[in-house]
Amino acid sequence: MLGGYAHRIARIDLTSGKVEYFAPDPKDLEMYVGGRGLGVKYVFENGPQVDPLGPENLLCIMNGPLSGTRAKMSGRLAVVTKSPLTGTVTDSHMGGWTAAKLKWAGFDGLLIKGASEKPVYLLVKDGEVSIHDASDLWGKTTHEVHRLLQERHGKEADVMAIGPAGENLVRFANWLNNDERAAGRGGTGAVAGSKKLKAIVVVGKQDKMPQPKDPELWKEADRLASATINDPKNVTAPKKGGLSLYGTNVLMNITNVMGALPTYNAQHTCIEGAEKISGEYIREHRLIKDNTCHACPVACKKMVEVHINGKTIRFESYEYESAWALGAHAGHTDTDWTGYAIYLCNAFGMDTIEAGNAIAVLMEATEKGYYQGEDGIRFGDKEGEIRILEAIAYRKGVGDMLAEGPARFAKAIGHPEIALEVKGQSIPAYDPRGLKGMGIAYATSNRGACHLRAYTPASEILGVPYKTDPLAWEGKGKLTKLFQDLSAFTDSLDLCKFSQFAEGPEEYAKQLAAYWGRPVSPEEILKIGERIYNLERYYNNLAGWAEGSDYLPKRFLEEPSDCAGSKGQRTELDLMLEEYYRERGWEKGVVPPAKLQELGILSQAAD
Amino acid sequence: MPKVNLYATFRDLTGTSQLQVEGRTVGEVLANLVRRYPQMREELFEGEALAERVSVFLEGRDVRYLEGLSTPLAPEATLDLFPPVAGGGLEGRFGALPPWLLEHYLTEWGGRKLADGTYTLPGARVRFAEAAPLAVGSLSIPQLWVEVEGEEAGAWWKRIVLAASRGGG
Ligand code: SF4
Repeated sequence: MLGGYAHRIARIDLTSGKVEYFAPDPKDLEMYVGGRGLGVKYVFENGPQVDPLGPENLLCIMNGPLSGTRAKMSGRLAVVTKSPLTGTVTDSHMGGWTAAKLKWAGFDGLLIKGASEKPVYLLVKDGEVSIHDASDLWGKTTHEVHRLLQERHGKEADVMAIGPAGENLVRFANWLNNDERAAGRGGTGAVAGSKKLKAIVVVGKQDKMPQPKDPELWKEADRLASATINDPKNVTAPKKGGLSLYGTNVLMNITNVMGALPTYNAQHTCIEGAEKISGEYIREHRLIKDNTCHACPVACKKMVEVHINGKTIRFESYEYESAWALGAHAGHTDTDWTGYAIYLCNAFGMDTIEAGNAIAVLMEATEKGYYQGEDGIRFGDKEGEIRILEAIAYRKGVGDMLAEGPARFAKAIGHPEIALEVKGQSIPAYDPRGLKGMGIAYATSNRGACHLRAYTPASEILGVPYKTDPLAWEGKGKLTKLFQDLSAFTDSLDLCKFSQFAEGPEEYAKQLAAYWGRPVSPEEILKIGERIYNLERYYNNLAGWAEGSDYLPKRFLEEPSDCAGSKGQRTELDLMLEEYYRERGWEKGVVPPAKLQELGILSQAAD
Repeated sequence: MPKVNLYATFRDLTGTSQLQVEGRTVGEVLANLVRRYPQMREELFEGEALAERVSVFLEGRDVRYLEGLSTPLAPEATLDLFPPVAGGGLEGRFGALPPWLLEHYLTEWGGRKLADGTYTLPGARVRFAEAAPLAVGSLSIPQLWVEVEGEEAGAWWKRIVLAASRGGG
């Protein structure tokens, strides 16, 4: 038996209230590992045609073989389902301790189907899952639910909850846990809302931590991984490296001077005063505490305090993506209002990236006269922004249309071109005119526009693993494939993406081999990553995202960048796509049967 | 005064690995370097232009992506100069791969240490050196220069590239 697992998954039917348990097939574990990979396998088996907000959709809450172990940065939880925003398979990950506690509670995953008539929450404890009434919690914010359920089940209980946005089926509603870590993207919170599932409480103690099958190899693997993460020269180095000191928001000033920060709904590629919402500024003026996740020495999470109308609000975390989406993208760089907007998205349970795009699209539509309702807002209107965020969460006025996602909103008002989306999901904080690799990464991401499937800025900005010119398109297709495969694998372990700033396939392979108790090579892990990426793509092809669905918003292809660093640049998508498809062995975005067979997907799918 | 780091054969040609050279631009520093070591002219320049084969990095960035020879230099700037690799060898620079970790793998793969920064592997010789870190905003990312030569260079290079693969998020 492979080590690292609880060898127990719960199947929960919220329609009938029945809970069953099974041990995952060892063949599936070897092929898909856990976390994202195994979740995608289950979502695939559930069928690509289901209505994402119907009871037949499957919501997977997964951890991986290294979750809850002493492996560094092993605190990630994967939420995998069919996305109501994109109609693709999606996976979204949260940090903190939920994944570890789920393992300690005796589970590798929870597969949730059906829909309850009245609101419920799940209690996961001692290898059992029970369903409880949540009528008193319905309507409450995520923060209130965390507090109430921890009062009921103890401070040690981990709580992940949806907010009003999830209840109201906002298509980009998310999950937030009691450490304020979000499984942000793709609307997995709306899937929970459609099932009337308000929260999941996980109780588990560390004494249930799985032990490695090969303790000697583990010692060596852990020593190497820890040493490279702690190497004082790496960005992950605790209290020394840039990621540890400033968090992800260390990027704000960098992308701004590169002309790679989309602002005013990407009508521009930089903004005056970006410094005011940057990691450096926050550390100096608003930071309360550096927080961390299970088994992570890096502690990149920033707890901050902002001040609005005489009130002080404390929250976590002032991330780069959130600060961009709710600040620069909306045409302002106000430290406190941006922070307040992040806090509100957390409270309502909405993805900050998608919410920021919704605000920016409404602002452009209002300024251009495409939207003429009284509740329209203009760039830089911070108070208006707060009003609209609330309107989205509760589906009031224009908020009701925006809750369908910026892509659907822009289409409904007759101007689809102002939505900066791919497959229905909006872009994050990198402009592909200033970082060409992001263009191909957005276009070919299996969950819609996303920076986390293939983080090309690692190479284009940070020179990891090798430096490429941010303005050159050559080689970016190849780089994107490598990153997509590597990340699909680490998302299945499930380790934090930032581990890749210090670790590579050798370190991952050693750690997994020590837990599994059988040799694992670096080549094998990239093969697993490739298999997962192809299975996702195959699912999407069957769900209707076929030829021609790897596109970019017209703005990036036609309107040149106007800021220093990338002035005059457009994204050469077609050239990059050609290179990328060649690397992948795909035909215009469609996985051919030969590839599915080569990776063992097709024969397995037919089993 | 700007600092210049020299690698591989440039070290053999000049007998030094680091020196300080006057100049306010990349071009001025290289011209002054050539004045001191005339044998470097042929290596660095093709006519008045920077030779295609050499790599000049300013704080980790290839000056070709900056302003070439006109790239301005602060007094405390550091330049890294890499020669082209001779005879079918392969070379490159990797970010976030600590030298001790590469040494660990070279040993694990059956390599033998010849000198600091030089290992032999079956059919190949590997040389590596820490280059100036890439500095961007408040971030600094370590860079490791690696060169592989010999009959089996291709296979070993692939292995090193795979081990060096990293991404981020
Ligand atoms: S690097 Fe940051 S997000 Fe990743 S595990 Fe550590 S604290 Fe959590």
